[in-house]
Amino acid sequence: MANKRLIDGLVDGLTPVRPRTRWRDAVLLAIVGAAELALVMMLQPMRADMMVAMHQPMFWWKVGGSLCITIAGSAALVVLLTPDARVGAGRRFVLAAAAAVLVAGLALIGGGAMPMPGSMPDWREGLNCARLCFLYGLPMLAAMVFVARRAAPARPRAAATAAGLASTGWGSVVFSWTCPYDDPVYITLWFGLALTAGALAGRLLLPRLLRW
Amino acid sequence: MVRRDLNPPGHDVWARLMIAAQAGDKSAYRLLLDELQVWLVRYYRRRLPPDTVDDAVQEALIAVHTKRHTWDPSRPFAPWLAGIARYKWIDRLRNLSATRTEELPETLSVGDHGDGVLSATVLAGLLATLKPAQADAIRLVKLDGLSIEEAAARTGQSPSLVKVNIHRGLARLSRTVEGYDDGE
Repeated sequence: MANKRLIDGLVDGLTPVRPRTRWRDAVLLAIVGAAELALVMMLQPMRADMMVAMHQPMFWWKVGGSLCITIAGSAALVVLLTPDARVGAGRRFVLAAAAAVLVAGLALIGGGAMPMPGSMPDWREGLNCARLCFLYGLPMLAAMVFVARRAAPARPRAAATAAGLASTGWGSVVFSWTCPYDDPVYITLWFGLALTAGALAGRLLLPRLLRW
Repeated sequence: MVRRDLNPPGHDVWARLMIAAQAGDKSAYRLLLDELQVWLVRYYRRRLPPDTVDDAVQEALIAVHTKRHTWDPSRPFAPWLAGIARYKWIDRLRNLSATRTEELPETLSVGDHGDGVLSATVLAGLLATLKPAQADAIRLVKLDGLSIEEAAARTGQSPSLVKVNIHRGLARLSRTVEGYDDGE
């Protein structure tokens, strides 16, 4: 009887809806990311040696690697936003991307396209870089939470981890505009730390926001 | 164990009804919800104590309603529905662990005998994944209906340890269940 009354109420409240598509979510996230990048490029001074850096593979490895992680994390998130999503699919995207970035870095070093690691800047500088990667990722994180709350993530922890990773990845891409360091060990260590911290923070803090 | 599950026979029909419902067709939606309700009752009877089945069904129906836009008509309907049912089942388990032990239902196998047996089998399998002290505490208090003190006397654990073991055991069960892919 209670179920019958509930069904009556749900039917009475029915309104047409536009079915969610993964592409629409992806486009929304891309727009937010592009807007943030454009804003930072307008308001923040770029690194002093940008013209030189742009001719170095190390710079593009840093930007490309961060972008790769962002795309993989975002793809994992978008896939995880339906009730029938399986965790394994998202995990595969991310692991494949991380492996590809590391292999590309090693190949560049081995091929002589990137110099062997040099002396590392002060650890406080590295920690600051990691912090800024995380902070620059917050607008994207907000967009991802917005998208996720409108959807139905049945694996909130996995979705939250993907959101934390992908948003920090995007923060790393944006931060590359001002970050003056390209040393492969420095990037692996501090950008890697930021990505790990972002994923962990997402996993710990976001699931409550994503429950429905 | 939990992977064996119902395979809704009319999911092509349900998909067509849901497409119509997404467009605002109320008669198609009523038909769909009536059929989903039957399927959901069977689904939860196999997994939950009888006195929580109705609540779980209603929560799942509400979730189907509020999240109906998340079903993409280009994808199969049955896994989407099963995902919602499973998510709400895990919610129920989580609530079970958050509820005070004295207020929890005492039995799991009343009403439909076949569903009761299956439910007990599923639970026995899940309990086997826990530490013996946690499984004993949950079995005695949640399933057999003993008080915390009686369970403490029976197991040799202190009352507070029984409570801790129940809490941790149920939390672990929730995590275990979350890790399953139903394959529906």
